[in-house]
Amino acid sequence: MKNWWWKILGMLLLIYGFTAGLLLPLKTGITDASPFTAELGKSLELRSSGYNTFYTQSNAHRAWLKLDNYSIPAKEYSVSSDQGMVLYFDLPEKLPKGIEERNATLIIDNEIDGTHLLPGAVYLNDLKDSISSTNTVWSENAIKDLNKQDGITFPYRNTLYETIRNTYFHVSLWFAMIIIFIAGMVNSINYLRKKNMDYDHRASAFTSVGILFGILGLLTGAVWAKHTWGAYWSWDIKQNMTAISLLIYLAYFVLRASISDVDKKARLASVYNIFAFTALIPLIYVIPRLFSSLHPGNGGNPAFGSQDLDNTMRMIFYPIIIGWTLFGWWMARVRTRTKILEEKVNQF
Amino acid sequence: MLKDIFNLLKYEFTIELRQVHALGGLMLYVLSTLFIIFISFANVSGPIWIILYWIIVLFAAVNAILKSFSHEMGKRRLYYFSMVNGTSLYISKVIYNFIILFLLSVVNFTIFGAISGSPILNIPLFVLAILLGSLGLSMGLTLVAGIASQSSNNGTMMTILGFPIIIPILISLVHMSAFALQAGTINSVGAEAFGDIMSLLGIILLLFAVSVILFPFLWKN
Repeated sequence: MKNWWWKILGMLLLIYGFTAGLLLPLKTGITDASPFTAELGKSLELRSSGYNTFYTQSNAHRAWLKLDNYSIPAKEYSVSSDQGMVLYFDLPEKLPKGIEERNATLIIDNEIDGTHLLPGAVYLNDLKDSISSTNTVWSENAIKDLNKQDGITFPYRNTLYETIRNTYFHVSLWFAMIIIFIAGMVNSINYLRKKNMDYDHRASAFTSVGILFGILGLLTGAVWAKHTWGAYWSWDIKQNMTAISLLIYLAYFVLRASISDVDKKARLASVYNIFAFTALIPLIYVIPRLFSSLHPGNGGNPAFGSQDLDNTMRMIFYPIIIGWTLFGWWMARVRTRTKILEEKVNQF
Repeated sequence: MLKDIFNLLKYEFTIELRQVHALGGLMLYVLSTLFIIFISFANVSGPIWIILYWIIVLFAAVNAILKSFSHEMGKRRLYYFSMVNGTSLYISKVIYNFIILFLLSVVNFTIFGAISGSPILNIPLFVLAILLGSLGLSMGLTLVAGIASQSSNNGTMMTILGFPIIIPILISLVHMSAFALQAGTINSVGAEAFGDIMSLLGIILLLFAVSVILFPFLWKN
């Protein structure tokens, strides 16, 4: 128990991360509303489609169209299914005073699904024939007593939808990869200081696990990019830099393979490993900031901003990073032992 | 240590001047690459000009820097090892490579500009880019050349190990040189070019610090 508790911990964290990360539902949201444009001063019949909603279970729906602080409530509504609702608005004749914004946010609220909204749902055009058929006015700060959805859920984001779960795999794999690469580099430093072959075996084992995580991170990222950016590979600066950083580490193994003398191999590989990790820092943290990128967290945090994670996601995201790291650590330990055994076999 | 560095540099240049064919070979290499480019591209626009320029410099740099270690194999290496420590050898190599690369880049700039007409309007900024570029390439590639020259098949190893590592420097250089396409003095460049200069300096310092520490380990068995 003394020596393998962390392996069990790692596995448990991964199982927890996979089950909770894949099974917990998303918050409710509105996927789209049509028509997209409306004329001020006329009535509007707006069909909205909900996501993860249960409209038929509630009879106390409320809805608003909101511009900045001003809003108008829905005159009436009819629920067609759990996800479908038709909302009727009487639009005021003019935009609120001092407001230039024309993209109104649609907000729907009920006690089952909580509040959900679609930013920029309706674009408000000016009245064309100057005869207004309505007499509603914008009211300021009128949206009150909003409901909260019960249960543990992940945030709903338009364009991300269910792929938000990839945070637990793509992002956490990258975190774990960096930790594993650092462990590999520390072992390389130790080899240069102490000239003990075990350190070199460990360094190369950690680096190979790091490459595995890197490739998995790149693949999960490509799948995510397909859903959100439209293509698996769009030559984005971050994609290119990660591909290059993998090239650096693949070169590490080419270097190892090209030298037959064991001590020389260990020495050169250790030097290169430390140098490569240093070169990785500008690749991942400096260069992407010089260019515009599709990837979140541009110009600030290299991976993502703090507003991209809510507390529910943190409860899965941080444990699964530790899970991947411990799992990678375990793999590297096994790889080290097989390497030492291989060497012993080769000596005979 | 300073004396060691100075002596090694003096020795390096004496050899270089005795074997003019090696340096001349590099110049010819740059020239022939330039001619291939002019035959292939009839007309080169500004941004493409900059990218081609730095690619030529990169390939010349890989050749030049790998060559700088070709003397030091075998018995001469043992002799060196008994005379000087790794750090001074590394620093002398970096300075030597920097000077050679700077010369190569300037020659490249002159000939490239003379043949195709240079799109560079802010010459002081571009010269600064050349300076930083030769410095960065020699910092980044000298240690790699040291590794590659000890492995078998060192030409291939040099490109495999060196190219990915040099990419941050190369990208910053291309990005920075693009600002030299607009007229101006070195003081008139905007904050963006300044950011590039700072990040280049940062990368160069980082690579230099790590290389200085690592080279002695590479040097002694």
